[in-house]
Amino acid sequence: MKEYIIRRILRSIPLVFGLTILVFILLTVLPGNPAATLQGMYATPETTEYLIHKWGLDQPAPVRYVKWLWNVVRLDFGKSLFTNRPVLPQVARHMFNSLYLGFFAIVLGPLISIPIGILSAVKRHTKLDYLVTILVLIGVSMPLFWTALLLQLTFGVRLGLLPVSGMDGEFFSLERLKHLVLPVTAVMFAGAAMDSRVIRSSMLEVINREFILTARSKGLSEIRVLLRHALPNAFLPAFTMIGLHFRAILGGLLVLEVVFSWPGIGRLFYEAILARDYPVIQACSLAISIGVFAVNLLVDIGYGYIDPRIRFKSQVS
Amino acid sequence: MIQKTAKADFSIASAEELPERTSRLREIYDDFVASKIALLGLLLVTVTILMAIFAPEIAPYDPTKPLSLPSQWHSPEHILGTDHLGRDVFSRIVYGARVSLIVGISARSISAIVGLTLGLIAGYYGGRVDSFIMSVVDIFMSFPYILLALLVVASLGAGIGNVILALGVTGWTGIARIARIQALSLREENFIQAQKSIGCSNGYILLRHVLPNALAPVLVVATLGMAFAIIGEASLSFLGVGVPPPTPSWGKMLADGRSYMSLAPQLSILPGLAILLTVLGFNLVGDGLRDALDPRLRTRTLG
Repeated sequence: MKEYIIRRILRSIPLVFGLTILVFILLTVLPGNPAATLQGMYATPETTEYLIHKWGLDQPAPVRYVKWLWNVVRLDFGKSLFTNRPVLPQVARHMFNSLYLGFFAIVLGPLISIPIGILSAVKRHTKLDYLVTILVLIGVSMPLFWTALLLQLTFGVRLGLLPVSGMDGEFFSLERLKHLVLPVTAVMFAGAAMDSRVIRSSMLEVINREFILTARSKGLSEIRVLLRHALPNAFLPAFTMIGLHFRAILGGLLVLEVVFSWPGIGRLFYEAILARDYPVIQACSLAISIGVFAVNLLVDIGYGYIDPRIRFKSQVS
Repeated sequence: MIQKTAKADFSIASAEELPERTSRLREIYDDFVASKIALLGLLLVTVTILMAIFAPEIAPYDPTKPLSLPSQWHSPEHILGTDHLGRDVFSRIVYGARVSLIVGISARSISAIVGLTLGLIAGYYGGRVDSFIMSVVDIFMSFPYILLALLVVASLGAGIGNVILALGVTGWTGIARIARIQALSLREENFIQAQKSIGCSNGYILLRHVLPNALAPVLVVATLGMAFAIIGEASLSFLGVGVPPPTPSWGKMLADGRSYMSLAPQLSILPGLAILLTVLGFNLVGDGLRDALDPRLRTRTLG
């Protein structure tokens, strides 16, 4: 098992840096000048040139990349071109905020999707199933930022119940929780819609298997059969979805973060691109891609735990 | 000797009684049409396409010209009211279909071409080529779709062509994977082996035999991915890096309407509804295609 993990990590490293190279190449094509943007109307050729030289942007791209790489290895991610504050803490904070938001959504999502999935699998082809299917299909097709806007409109603007933006309050405060409600609901909604379909179809596959028939003929109650025998076997595809959700949190929720002004990593990346803040863009890309590979690795290890057959197969080969 | 056992009837049934031999294509069509949900999806998609094509005839006003008082609710002259600059909302939504569909279809086509090529080559040739291409796929997949598209579109600049390019060039990974799996299994098929044994070049085999047989699942993924492309365009426009004004884009309309949420929420709700229905349509069609093409569900013919 350990060799597997180490092999995976070693294989991922060149891929992660491959991504940073890709991002770097795109950045060289990126038009616009952070020096000009920062100075606004006070820009003069001399000051612009000074800034560009100070930031090392007048050097050829490969040189810049190697320098950046060299610094990264020593855990120095530089300073933001705009705030002049160190990049690493900023990226770490935003990453944490995104994970914080996503964590709630991922944990609470199954509370909705599992019952719905099981229910619609059990009551297949009944009116309830069709109703749920239609609702779920609509839920999957709703653009996330539209759902977010609707939630903002209903609960924030019309009813005035919940704050619509930002992330306020101390870590464990009610205020913080109030700010979490709307964004988490939006994310949960989208995720639960997708997950219910997956759970439904995998439950349908499992329910027709022989061991379920055995369990029923043993006289076990239907609930026990469903929850204790069918569900664990049906869970694997749902686990894949959880991996997908984690990857979405790592920056894919960019638009949601913009709508709710949530200080997450997606929004940081977006604003850095707009501002041409190169160090931040590069650090974000690195952080996001490391995050994605870590999630993939965890999901694959998790497969081994959930389904022992996978675990043993990989050991035999 | 006359047997007393029941006579086995070996007479061939008349032509009307034999079950009809249908082609695979007809089977797929039948399966698809049987699903009412898929038909609904097809209806939605068709309506959207028609709306896009006949926009000049359907839309009552020019979508880019401010004509009346801004932010009005619906009235006899303006069915859906006006936006914050006084342009007719209904016309903007009708014309917005053009942008969404053009971007969606073009971007998806680019993704399909790139994905098919890379996927089929990787699956067919295997070995180091496969590893290399899969590494590239992994690199692209390690970054969320929108972020990569955002970076590309910011680098290339505004404009609908760049948006299409950005979405196309970042969304090919799903198609590549499916194409690769198809190529991997097709490679072992007898008829492919036969082609190789008589000396056909790999290129010929790929184009003439592997490609057509690999198309079906790829088509499903391509259709289902239309949803992502359309939402991607809407997201990019929402963020301000998509299709530039005054061209109407549903995503941009959503963004513009945000500032007026308390006074005129319909400015944001309506374009979102349009996106929802279009995406729903493509999702339903994609699901229908996938179910119709699923060989496990094939029950009928002998043919």
